[in-house]
Formats: sequence, structure tokens, C-alpha cells
Amino acid sequence: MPTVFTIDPITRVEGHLKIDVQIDTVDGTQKVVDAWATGTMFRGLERILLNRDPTEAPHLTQRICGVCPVPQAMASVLALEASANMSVPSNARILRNLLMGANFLQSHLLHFYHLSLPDYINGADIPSWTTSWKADMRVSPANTKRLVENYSRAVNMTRKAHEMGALFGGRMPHPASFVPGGFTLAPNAIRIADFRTLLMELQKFIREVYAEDVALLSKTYGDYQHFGRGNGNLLAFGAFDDGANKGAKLFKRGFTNEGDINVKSVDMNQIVEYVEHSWYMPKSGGLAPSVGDTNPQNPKPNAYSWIKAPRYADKSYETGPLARMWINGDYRNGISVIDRHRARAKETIKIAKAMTSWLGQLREGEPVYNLYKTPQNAIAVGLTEAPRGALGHWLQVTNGKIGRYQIITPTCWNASPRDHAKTRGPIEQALIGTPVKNQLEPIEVVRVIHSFDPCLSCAVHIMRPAEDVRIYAIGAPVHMAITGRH
Amino acid sequence: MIMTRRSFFQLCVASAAVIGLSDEDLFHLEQSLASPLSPSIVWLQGSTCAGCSISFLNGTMSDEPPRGGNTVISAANILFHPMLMAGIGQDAVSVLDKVVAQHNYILMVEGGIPTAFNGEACTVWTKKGHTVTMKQAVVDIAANASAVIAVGTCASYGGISAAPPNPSNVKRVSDVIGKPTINVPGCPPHPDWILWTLTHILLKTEFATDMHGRLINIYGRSVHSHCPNESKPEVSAYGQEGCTERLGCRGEVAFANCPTSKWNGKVNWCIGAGGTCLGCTEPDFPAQRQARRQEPDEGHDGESEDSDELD
Repeated sequence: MPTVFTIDPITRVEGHLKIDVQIDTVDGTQKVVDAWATGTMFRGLERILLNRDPTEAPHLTQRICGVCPVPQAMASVLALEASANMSVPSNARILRNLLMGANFLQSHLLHFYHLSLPDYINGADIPSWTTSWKADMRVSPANTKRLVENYSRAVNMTRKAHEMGALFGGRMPHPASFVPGGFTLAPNAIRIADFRTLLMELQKFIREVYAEDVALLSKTYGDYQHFGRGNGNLLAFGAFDDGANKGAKLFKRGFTNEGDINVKSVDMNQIVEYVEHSWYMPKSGGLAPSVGDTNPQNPKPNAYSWIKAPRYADKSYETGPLARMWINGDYRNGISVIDRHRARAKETIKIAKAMTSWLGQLREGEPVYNLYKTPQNAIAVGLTEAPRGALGHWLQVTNGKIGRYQIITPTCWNASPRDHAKTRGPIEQALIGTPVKNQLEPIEVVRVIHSFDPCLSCAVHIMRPAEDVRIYAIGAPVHMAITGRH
Repeated sequence: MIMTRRSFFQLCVASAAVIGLSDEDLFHLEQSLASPLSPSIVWLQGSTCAGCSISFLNGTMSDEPPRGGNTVISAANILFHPMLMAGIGQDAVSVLDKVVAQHNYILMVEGGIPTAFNGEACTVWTKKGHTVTMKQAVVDIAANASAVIAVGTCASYGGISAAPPNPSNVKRVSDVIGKPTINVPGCPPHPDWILWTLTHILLKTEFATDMHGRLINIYGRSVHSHCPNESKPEVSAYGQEGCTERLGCRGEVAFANCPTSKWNGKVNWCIGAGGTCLGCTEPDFPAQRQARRQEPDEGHDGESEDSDELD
């Protein structure tokens, strides 16, 4: 009997996302056999940016994401500076790295403890935890107690990571300190010392608590090293410029296919966005982001998402900590739910360590800003990495105003729908083959989705699109219709 | 939001003077928080970047050493928050149904309300096989709420998403539910602003709001009027010490207590970091900024701030 289940909303993600999953029994095991990812919110920020002063872009684009605003500001200032063909003082480059590093630390801790962990443990007897699913909770009571305590300690740690960013950035989230030309604040000894104190406290927590908790989860849920692999195509734009070595970055740019260890260099001309299954007019499709546009159309036949389908050389790519660490050669254990958590933790340690060295490179009394002048006409791109993966801003300046602005966020790659050739997006692909023990509590599906750290509020439908259906709402049946024509 | 009742109470004590709470008020607050009759909180997210929720998290303290079992997502009983609750799918929505049926809850809305495409520009959950738009959800849940708080500039006035040409036809919450909201603007709002506003509502104390529905205690003065750089010379480029008015600072037309509240454990604020005030608490945010910054020969004042005149 074909069955339609609905889970909606999937909680503990930022923004709005819905996923349809088709489940069937394959070789005696109940598994996901197909999936559809749906971004359920349209904001159209790219249209809001049109005709505005380019210097507003770093402030406006930060508001794409309150969890990772700094990388948006970074991509934006990089695009603006490329358009003006200018460079920034090394103090500015370092301060930007430090602020973005602080944002990564905050975001990765938030993701593990507050967004992911409730998929693996039953928390305290408190209102917000009471309705969590009880299936497949394997952590011992003693370790559960420890994890719940660390959940609450992690709130303090994310707060402190933001304090660290605010010391130079002014406030977090949405600092006002990223400007084309450099940074707004000159560093002084007191702020550097305060930053160092907070950084050391965070480093200790990351090493002694976060890394240990991820290791515990990896051990307890070892079978999840076999779930959620996807197509193994990984892409990173690279980030955290290292001034000592022109063009060098803490994380390299590159891509690889099917989990290969041979990393290839990225040709930006290979990036195209498709809209065959997205709620945009056909004329917005098949375009490179440098000439792309954003014209919504809803309803639209065959479309099911507000997300476009970005592709590199017509293939879909996973992006994020695992992709970055893989491309960099820092983590190549495997591609799975558990590997995403482990790579993220290892990356957090790497960034926190690099921040100590950046802090030592700041020079009091040296400049933080070079005069930026908006060009009359220019085309440029700003590429960096957000906690969730590769981020690009494509800018065209026309008569001194923003003539075009296209943004591809990490979750556009990861949660993209099918493209013109019906190639699935990375999350869609990763869900396929995931075993589901209990259809009423398909926690396995949610764990796969959360391992990507999608930056969207997410709604999941588990469905089997056939004429004979039984409909359940997960957790509490709300409607049942059995046609029984077979 | 993840803290004990005691630490929530301590936060309120710390800010009591600012919001004008007496010792007696604080006593009642403690009583009220300990009471099972204390209202629940439903937090909805519409067209938002989630920055308001993230900022609110920065305002919380949890006990050291942590007392896991006693830790509550909120002393004020936040029962529904899509980004933080453990429940998933219909289990999450059923919590909402129960709370709404009891009529004893405060609705906090983050993000504007998209109305384009029949509201399909933002759907929030599925009920009885049909997706529910944010627009419908907010109308339904506001109906029985004892108070509706618009958290952030998007919920209060439309904000970023409603900026021209307003691609998803975002409306502020009050226009969608057809009654006034208590507004806590800011992009994001300072966590204290959210807590203080909530405290007033929990205590049912009287409070004054301005013409934009904001607490006067928080939003009563322009940033410029109590800015420490107010009397300093204007700078012509970033990275210098002084007033950033010529760089596009909107402190004169923005109302908030940032110069005294500061941000993130009071370590800094936008202008303290040498930046400009973006005017993020104002109904016209994000107003287009003056293009005259960084032109050293254009030092005079007096141009209109009106964005429409630029194009």
C-alpha cells in the first residue's frame, strides 16, 4: 500500500525548507527511494539591491542570514573591492578574518548543540523538549546528562563567540564594520587582549567539550557513517586570505567528483543556475550568475522550490565544512552524516587555532582603511565560505549604482531542487537509501538533513505519489484515506 | 532563552532601573515566573534571517556550573520556536494547537509577513494535508493571544524584505492581523529590548509607547543625542576617531539607547567600532543612504534624508 506521510515543519534549521521523501521497501528494508527539497520562502533580496548605492550591499546582504552574516559581508566587500580594482590594508584583512572566524565558531557550536543534538538525545523535562521523538535514542543516561549540560554551556559559548566578534565589529549579529576599502575600527592593545581571553576560553571548550561530544556521537551512532553520502561531489570557494602569501587561503578553492582525492581547480564560468523546477520565469534559467536575474513565478508547472538549482559543469555539488576540509586535504575519512559532524568539529579547531596567529599579526597604529570609490561601470565577483559552504556574490555596477546583484548561498547548492536534466540536489541525493525504521518517527531522515546544517526552516513531507495513498501526519494521524483500488 | 528562572530574574533585576521596575514589580515578576499560570510564549518566524532569535540568545545567561535538568528553554515558557524546539513535524504543530486553545499565551513574531502569491512566498507547516502560509498562521494565532509582540524591524515595519520593490509584498504584522502590535524594532533588536518588553507584558505594568509602537524607555532618544561622538569633529574616512555623520551615519534620525546599552555584553556598538548607525530601528529602514560620504569637499549639511529624492 503506497503511503503518504507528512512531517512539517522540520524544526531546528534557519529559514523555511520542505522536503518530500518517497519511501519503499527494497530487499526487505524500508528505505528512502526518492526526495524533493523545497525552499518555502522567497525574499528577492537581489531585486531589493538594484539601483542602490553599492556601498549599501555589505549591510543589506548580511540580512540574508542572522546566523552567518559576516561571510555575506565578506563576499560583498570582496566583490566591491574587485569592482574598484583595489586592495585593503593587512590590518583590515586580518580583522575581517577574525570576525568571520568568530562567526564560524558561534555557528558551528550552535549547529551541533542546539540544532542537531536533539535528534540524538531526549533532553531535560522542559517544555521545548517534551514533544521530541523517542525513537533510536542510544546515548546512556549518564552521557545524556552530560550532553544536556553541554547544550546549556554551549549557549554561553556562542554568546562569547559573538562578544569576541563585537569587540572589533561593534555588534553581532549584523556588524556595521565591513566596508569596501577595509574595516571601520583600528585595533588597540586592550581589545586585542580581551579578544585573546575569549578566544582561549572558546578554544578550551571546543577541544575538551565539543570535539569529545562529537567523538561520543560518532561512536554511538557508527552506522551513520554509511548514511547520507550523496553523490560525493564536493565544492569549495576557499576563504580566510593569508596576506603573507598572495592568493593563499586557510581553505583552498577546488572541487572533486564522487569523493575522489584528486582536487581540481574551479573555473567560475562553469557555474550556471537552472530554474526548470523553481518558481522563477523560464528566462531566469540556464544563466551564469554574472548575467542572472530573479523573476518569480508562482504557481508554475513542475516547479516545487523557491531555490534555483546552481550547478557546476552541469553537476550538483555539496558544499560546507566537509567539502572544505576534503578539498584542503584535512579530512578524508568518508562522506556521511557522521563525517559531516566530524569534519565540522575538526574545522572548528583549525579555525580557532588560526585565529590565535592572526591576532598576533595585527599592528597597532597601522591603517585599516583605503579610500574606496565606486566605479561608474564594472563587473566583479566576491567568493568566500560561510559556515555552511561556498558563497558567491556577483556584482554589476551600472552608472555608479547596483545594476545587477546575484547571490548563491551554500544552501542554494545543498538544498537545490532538480535541474533541467532532472539531476537531484545534494540533500535530495543524500537522502536516497536512508533506512527508515519507524515511518511515524523518521528520525533518520531528519538526521541526514540536519548534518548539512541547512540554513532554512524546513518542512518534510514523506510521500509516495501514487493514486492509492494512506495519509498520516507524523506523530499524530490527522487524516486517513485508503482507496484500496489494488 | 535557555536559562533558569533564576537567571531570567537576575537579568530583569539588572535592567530594572532602565525600564523603571520597582522592587515590588520585581517581586511580582518572580512570583509570576514561578507560577504554572504564567503565559506561554509562541514564537513564529516569517520573512526573516533568524537574526532576531540569534540576538535574543545572546541576552541569556545560564548557570555555571550548568544544572542541566533545571535548565529551561525559557523561564517564560517558550513552547513553540521553530529554530530551537526539539519537537518535529505534527508533534510540534500539536503543541501549538494546545497552547492556542488555552488562550493564555503571548505571540512573538519575527520577520515580516509575505503576502505575494496568496501568501505562498512563505509557508510554515502542513496541517491536514495542506501547507499553511505564514500569513494565515499569524492571523489565526494572533486572534487568541493576550499580546502580540513584533520582534525586529521586519515584523514591526516590514524592514529589509519590504524594501522597494518589495518583491514578496511583505507587510508588517499589525497590518496583517488588523490590530496594533508592541514593537521591538532593530536589525537585529538588542536582546535586552526584547526581554524588557516581554517583562512589561508579563507583569502587566503600564508602559508608554511612541507613535511607532515602541517602548519610550528604550526608543525615546535619538542615537545622536546621546552619542559620545556627538561633539567630536566629523571624520572623512573610516578608521579615524570622530563623528561618522559624513560617512552616512543615521544616528540623528534613529531612536534607540545603543550609546548606553551597548551590545554583546556591553563590549562595543556600531559607532563604537568606528562604523555608522544604520538607523535599523526606524520604520524606513533600510532607507537609502546619502551618497555624499567620502567626498572631502562636500562638508555642508542640510540635504534631505529622503531616499526617494536620490533616484
